[in-house]
Amino acid sequence: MRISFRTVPRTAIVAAAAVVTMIGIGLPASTTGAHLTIKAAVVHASSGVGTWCSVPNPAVASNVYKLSEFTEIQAPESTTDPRAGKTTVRMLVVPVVNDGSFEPVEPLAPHIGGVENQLGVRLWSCTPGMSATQSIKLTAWRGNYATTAASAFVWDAAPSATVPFARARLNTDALLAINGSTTNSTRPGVELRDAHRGINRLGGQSGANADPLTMRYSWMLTNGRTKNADFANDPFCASKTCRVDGGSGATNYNNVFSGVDTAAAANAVHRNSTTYLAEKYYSASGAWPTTTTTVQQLQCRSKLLWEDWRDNWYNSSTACPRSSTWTQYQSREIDVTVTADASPTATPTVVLPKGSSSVDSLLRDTTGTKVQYVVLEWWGAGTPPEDLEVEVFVK
Amino acid sequence: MATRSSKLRAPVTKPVALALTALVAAAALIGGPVTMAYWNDATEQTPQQIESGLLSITAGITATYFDLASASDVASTVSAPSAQGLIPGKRGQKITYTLASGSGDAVQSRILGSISAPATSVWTEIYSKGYLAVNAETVGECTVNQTPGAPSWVIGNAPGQTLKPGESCKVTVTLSIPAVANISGKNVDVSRALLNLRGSASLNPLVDFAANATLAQVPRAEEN
Repeated sequence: MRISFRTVPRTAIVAAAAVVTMIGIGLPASTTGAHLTIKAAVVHASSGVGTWCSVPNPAVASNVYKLSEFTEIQAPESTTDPRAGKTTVRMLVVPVVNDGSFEPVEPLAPHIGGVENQLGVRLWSCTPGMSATQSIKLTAWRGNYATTAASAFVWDAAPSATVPFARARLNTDALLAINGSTTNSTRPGVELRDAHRGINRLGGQSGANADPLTMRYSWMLTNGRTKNADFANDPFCASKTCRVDGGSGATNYNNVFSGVDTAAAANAVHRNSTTYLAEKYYSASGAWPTTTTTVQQLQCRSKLLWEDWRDNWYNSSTACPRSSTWTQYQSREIDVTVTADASPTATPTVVLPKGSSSVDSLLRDTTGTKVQYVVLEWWGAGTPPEDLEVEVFVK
Repeated sequence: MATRSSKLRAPVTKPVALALTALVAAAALIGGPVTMAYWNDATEQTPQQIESGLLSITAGITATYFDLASASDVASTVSAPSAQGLIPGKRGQKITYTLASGSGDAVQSRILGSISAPATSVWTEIYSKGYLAVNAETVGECTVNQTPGAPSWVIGNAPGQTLKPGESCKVTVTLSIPAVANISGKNVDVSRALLNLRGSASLNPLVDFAANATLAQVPRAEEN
C-alpha cells in the first residue's frame, strides 16, 4: 500500500517528525555511544639550567666556614702586652683531627702536591674585586694541653660523639692574658687566640733553647703567600734561636682568593679556589730538628794492659801513641753518628687518622700528629661577601 | 475539492520540512562517530585551535621563573646566576598548559591528555638522583596524575567532572633544583653534584615537555 502524506493523519506526521528530530539530536551520544572528539596539537615547553658560580655549601660540608659568620671578639691588639688595647676581629678556633669530618669537599688539584694526611686550607669565592682593605690570617698550632683541666676547655660548640670536630668551636672571647707558660688552668681558646695574634709570652726563649711558639706553629696563610705563590715557604729559620710564628696577615683578599676572574663561562658551576698546605718548622712532638752525620772515630788501646777501646784520648792527632817498650798501642776506626741542631726547612704538618682515640685524648695530644688547633681570623672594615669561605681539610 | 486540497497541503508541508531538517541534523551528527574519524586531526600549526563546529579545543602555554630563596630552608651558595634557566636553590620554573573548550561549543566534554618528556641522558640521571624536583597540579575542571617514578602525567577528569563550553583545564608543572638534597639520609650539595655530573658535557636542554589532549563529547545524559 502506498502511503501518502495525504492519507496519514496530521498528528501522526507531526509525532514522527518530533521522534526523528529527537533521535537526530540524542542518538549519537546516548543511544549509540558515538560522540564527538577533538584533539589539540602537541605543545612543547623546554626547560634548562642556567649558569652560575658556586662555592661549597656549609650546610653539607661541616669543614667549610664562611668568613661572614666568624665570631666577633675583642682581641689584644698589642703583640707585647695582652692587657693593652683591644681590637675587633672575627675568629674561629677549630680542633682538627683526622676523623673524616675534614675530608676535602672535592679532590685537590694535581698541582697542589703535598703528602697524605697533610693539613691545609682552601679559600673559595666567586666574587671578583673583593675588599683590598680586609685582612686574613690562618695558622695552626700543636696542642700543649696534656694536663689542662677539663673545665679550662671552654667551648662554643664542643666535639662529641654526635658533634664532629669540624663543627666544634673553642671559645676565645675572654679578657684573660696569656700565661707565661701553659699551665693546667690555661684556657686553650684564649691561649691560641693570643699566640695567633703574635703575643709571645709562652715561656719565652731562654739561652739557646728553641722558642716555644715556634715549636708549636704551622704556617697556613699569612703574609708571604698569595694565590700565585701558594707554595711559598715561610721565612727561613736559620738557627735554634730564631722565632717563627703567625706574623702578619695577608692583606687584600684579591691576592689570596681566586674570585671568578679566570672562571670559564659554561653552565653549571665554576671552580674557584686557592689551596695552601700547612707546614711546620719543628720536629715531631715539638723538638728542634736536628741533623745527624757519620764520622770516622779513631780509637786506641794499650795492648799490654788490655784496656777497653777508647776514643783517641791521648791527643787530638789522628794517630794513637807510639808503642814503647812498656806499652804497646793498637788503633782502629769506627763509624760514629753525630747529632747537631739543624737549620730547618719547612716540613708538612700531618694529622694522622684518629683511630679509636677518645675525644679527650685527641684534645690532649701534644705530638701535633693527632690534633692541630687551627685559628681562622679576618679583620678590617665592613663585612666580607657571603661567598668567601675557608675550607679546612686533611688531605 | 480544490478548497479541501488547499486545506490539506498547508499542514503537511511544515512537518515534512521539520522531519527533513531533523534527518539532515542526525546525519550530520552520526557522520563522525560512526566512522570514528576525527573532524580535524592534530594540527602542527599555531595557534592550536581546532574546531568542528560543535566542539573545539585550544592549547596555550606559558613559562615563568620564580624565586626559590624564600622557599628554601637551606641557603644556596650560588652567585652570579644567569638571567635564564634553573638555578640550584635560587630559581625555579613554572610551565602552565591551558587546555580549553570553545565557548561556542554545543556540548560538554571530557579531557584526556598527557604531559611527558623524552629524556636526555643527563636529564634522566639528574632526575633519578633526586636533584630535580618536579610536580604538577591543576586548576579548573581536570585532574592530573603522575606516572610513578617518571616525570610524566596523565590529564583527565574526576568522576562526574566535565568541561562546559568555555571552561579550561590548567596544568602547571613546577621544576626546581634544591640547594641541598637529602639522598639516602645524606645531604648533597647539588650545585657541586651537578658539576660532577656534567663533566665536560652541557646540561642543556634539561627537559622538553610535550603536552597533548583530546576532548570527547560527554553523552547528554552525563552532562551537568
